[in-house]
Amino acid sequence: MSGDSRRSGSAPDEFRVPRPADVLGQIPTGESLHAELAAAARSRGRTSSVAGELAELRETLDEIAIEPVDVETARRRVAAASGEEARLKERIAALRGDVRARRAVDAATDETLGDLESAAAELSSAQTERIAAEQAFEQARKRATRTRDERERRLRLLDRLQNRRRDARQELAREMYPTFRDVLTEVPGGDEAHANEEPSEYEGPAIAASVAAVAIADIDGPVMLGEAAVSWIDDREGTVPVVVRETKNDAEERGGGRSPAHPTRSGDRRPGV
Amino acid sequence: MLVLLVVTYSAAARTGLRNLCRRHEDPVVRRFGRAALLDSTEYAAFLAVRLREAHGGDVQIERTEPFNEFVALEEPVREAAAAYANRESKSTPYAAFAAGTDHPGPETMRGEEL
Repeated sequence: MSGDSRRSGSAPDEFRVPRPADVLGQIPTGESLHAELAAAARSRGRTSSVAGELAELRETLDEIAIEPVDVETARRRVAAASGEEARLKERIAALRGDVRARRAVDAATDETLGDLESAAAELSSAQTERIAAEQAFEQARKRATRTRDERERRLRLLDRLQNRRRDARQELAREMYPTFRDVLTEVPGGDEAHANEEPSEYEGPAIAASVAAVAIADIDGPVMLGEAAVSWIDDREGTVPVVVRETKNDAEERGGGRSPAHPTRSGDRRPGV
Repeated sequence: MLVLLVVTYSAAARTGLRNLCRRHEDPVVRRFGRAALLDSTEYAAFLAVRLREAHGGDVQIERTEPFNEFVALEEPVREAAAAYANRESKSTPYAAFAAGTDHPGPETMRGEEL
C-alpha cells in the first residue's frame, strides 16, 4: 500500500529547531531576518519564554505513534468479490434463458442444468466471500478511523508547535535587535538608519543584515560566502575577517589548504545543508 | 449528485490538497481548511487518489450524497426537529422537551439506522 510505512509518529525534521550554525553557516542564508536573529540569540545561549512549552510539545509529538492501517487490501478484496458475484449472476441468468429456450424446442437440457447447478454453487460461495470482504473492509475502516483521531491530534500539535516556534523566533529576534542595530553600521552595505525599531521594520539589504546577524552570533566553524555575498562585499571594498571565519580544522577536513579567518568561496548554497 | 470528500491529516497532505485546489478549480466544489469536496467525475477521483498515493493514510476519501430528510426520515422525526428548533424555552434539553409528548426520544432515535 502506498505511503503509510514512511510516516511514523515523530515530528518531521522541519519542526526541529535548526542549529544556529545551520542557519548562519552560509551567506546568503536563505532565511528570514527573524530566523537569523533568533539563531544568533540561541548561539549566545538565549532561550525564549516558550522554550518549555516547545520542549513539551516535541516530547508529546515524539510519543505519538500511528500504526499503519492497510485499507487498500480490503478495498481491493471487496471490489474483486463484488465483481465475481455480478459475473456469476449474469452467467446464471444466461443459463436459465438457455434452459427455457431448450425446453421450448424440446432439446436436451441436462448439460445446461448441470452448468446451472455448479454456477449456483459458485455464486453461493462468491456471496459468502463478498460478505466476508465487506466485513473485513468495515473492520479496516474502523481501525483507520481510530488512527485518524491520532493523526488529527498530531497535526493539531504540529500546528501549535509551529506557531509557538514563530513566537519564539520573534521574541528572540526582538531581544537581539538592539545589538544587531549597533553592529549593522560596521558591516559592508549596512546602515543603522535602515534598522528602525523592530526586526519587521528592517528596510536595508538582506545580505548586510545576514552579515550583521553572523557578526553578533557565537558560532564555531566556517561561514561560507556565496557568490552574491562575495561580490556584495567586494563591491563595497569591505572586509569580513572578524565576522566570517573559518577554523583551521574545518579547512583541513574539507581538504582545503586555506588559511584561517579567510572567507570561503563557494556556490550560493553549501551542499548537503 | 454524489461528491467526493477529501480530508487530510498531515501538514504535507494538507499542503498537497491546497495545491490541488489551487491548480484545479473545476472539479473543486468547495474548500475547507484541510478538506475539500470534489465533484463526481473520474478526473476529480484521479486527483484524490493521486493525493492518497502520495500521502497514504493521511488522506481520507469518502463518497457522500446530499441528504434528503423527506426520503431518509420518518415524519415524526422531522416534526420533532422543527418543533424543537422553534421551542419557546431555549434552555430545555431535547430529552426533557420530548418527554411526555409524541416526539421520539433521543435514545429511540439513536437506536434507529437511517
